[in-house]
Amino acid sequence: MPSDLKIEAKSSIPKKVVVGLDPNDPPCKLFSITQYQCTPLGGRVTCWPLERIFRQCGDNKPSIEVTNRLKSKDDEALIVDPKFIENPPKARNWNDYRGA
Amino acid sequence: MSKAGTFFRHKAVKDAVRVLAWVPVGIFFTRHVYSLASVTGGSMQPTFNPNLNSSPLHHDVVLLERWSVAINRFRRGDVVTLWSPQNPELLTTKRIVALEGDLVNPLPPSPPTPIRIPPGHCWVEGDSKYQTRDSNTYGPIPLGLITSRVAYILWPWPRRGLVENELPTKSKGRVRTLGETFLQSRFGASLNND
Amino acid sequence: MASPYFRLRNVFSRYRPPPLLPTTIRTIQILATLHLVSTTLVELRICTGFSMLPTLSQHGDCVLVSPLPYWSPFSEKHTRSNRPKRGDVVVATSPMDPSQTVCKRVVGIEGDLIEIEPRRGNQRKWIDNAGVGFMVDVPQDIELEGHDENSHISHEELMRKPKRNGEGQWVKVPKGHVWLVGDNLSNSTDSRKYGPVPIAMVKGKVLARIYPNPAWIENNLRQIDE
Repeated sequence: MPSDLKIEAKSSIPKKVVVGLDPNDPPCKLFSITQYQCTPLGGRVTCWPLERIFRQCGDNKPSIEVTNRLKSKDDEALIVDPKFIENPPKARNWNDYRGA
Repeated sequence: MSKAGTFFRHKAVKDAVRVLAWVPVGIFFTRHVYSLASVTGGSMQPTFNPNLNSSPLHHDVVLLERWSVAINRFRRGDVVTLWSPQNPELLTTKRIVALEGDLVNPLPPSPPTPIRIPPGHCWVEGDSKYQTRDSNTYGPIPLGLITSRVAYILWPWPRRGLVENELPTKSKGRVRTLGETFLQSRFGASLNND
Repeated sequence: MASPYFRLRNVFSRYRPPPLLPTTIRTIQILATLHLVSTTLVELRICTGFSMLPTLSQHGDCVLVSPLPYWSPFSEKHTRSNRPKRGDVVVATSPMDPSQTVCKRVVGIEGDLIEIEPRRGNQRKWIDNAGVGFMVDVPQDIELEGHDENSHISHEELMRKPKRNGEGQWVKVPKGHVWLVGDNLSNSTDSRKYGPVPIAMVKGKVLARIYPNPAWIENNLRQIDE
């Protein structure tokens, strides 16, 4: 299927329609930033990596963090939960979380 | 090698170097001691540019005091220049109305629930009685965004003088000073009441 | 003409200490030039604290910082290309105290939807040989040995801690802001506490660690290919 056709369909159809279950459905890509959880144990500090995964549909487009919404943890098949793509979380402004 | 030697022996070059050697000192002075600026916009009327509508090309020229910000001394009532939190390339001028710990009753477009100023932040407002883009729009701002205190109006001549450290009617009464009882934030630890 | 004594006296009487005023002026000019270079080109800074482990050590690494990558000489910018990028390690003024600076990683830029707290799993309580208990932040799929002959920990006590603040909550990074998080999620005060940080507070990009263990500080963002 030509990819241009898919992109056009995306923009003219209301948000609720699922555009394929493939998270790397062009032009959407995944990228990761590695951070860590560190703990002092027995006089030494041990760090475990935490891969933060983000989904971005096109260069210069905003990304959304999908770290905890992956269906499979293997590097072989990183699939984002399609329900998450269809229904992105209601991202609030910071002020809405932290009150006066 | 000798070419460079003869170059630097020219009197003109020596004089140029003598002058250039002062440039970094001048830059330091304008960044951390005093500098000049002109105020555009009407959000601080009538303190600055009170006749902007009738003479839109005349902007007040002011003296910016940078050393007080360099030592982290901030007081309620100070008029300051700050980077806009919405646009990092835009420098705006507003008045500090509240410091950390204070309770502020905001104006529209903010919902009317009182806001407590978090540590390291302040609440700024434009003097103009009309709605201005200030903390009522973008909330408390970190003190790190403030670049200078507007100390003195230099031009136009009839209005020259110190910039008063006085809250306008628009802001008075909407702030409960629960933070530091002194007029300066705790960061200016080496200073006594000024 | 003289005996050695007179020659010596002549030498000393001709000695003048460097004149005070030109020396002071030179010193001021040199200091001002150094300051200019350090604030516009590169400077050396110490980043201390646990928040950037293991990228930077807690004892205080000396790092090379430059404001140049984010410098936009013209105020009108259509491209906005000189803003902090996702994955950069930056030095910024602390939003909680303008006299402090912090070293953190940029995890989100304006428009991004970031999960405030991406960590999962419980915190467990460890009691060491001295009887001191402390909470241990460990990924949920890691099992720690309770009875290891060689371990310095005498025994562990399993305790369930309630969900962390911000789990499962996404925040939208507003225009003109970035989301800063220390690499050591277990011990870092960052945007999770003080919210998105205005870009004007970011003072420079951390390019490399100079001492100890010189190394480039990487922007560790990587694309995931299928």
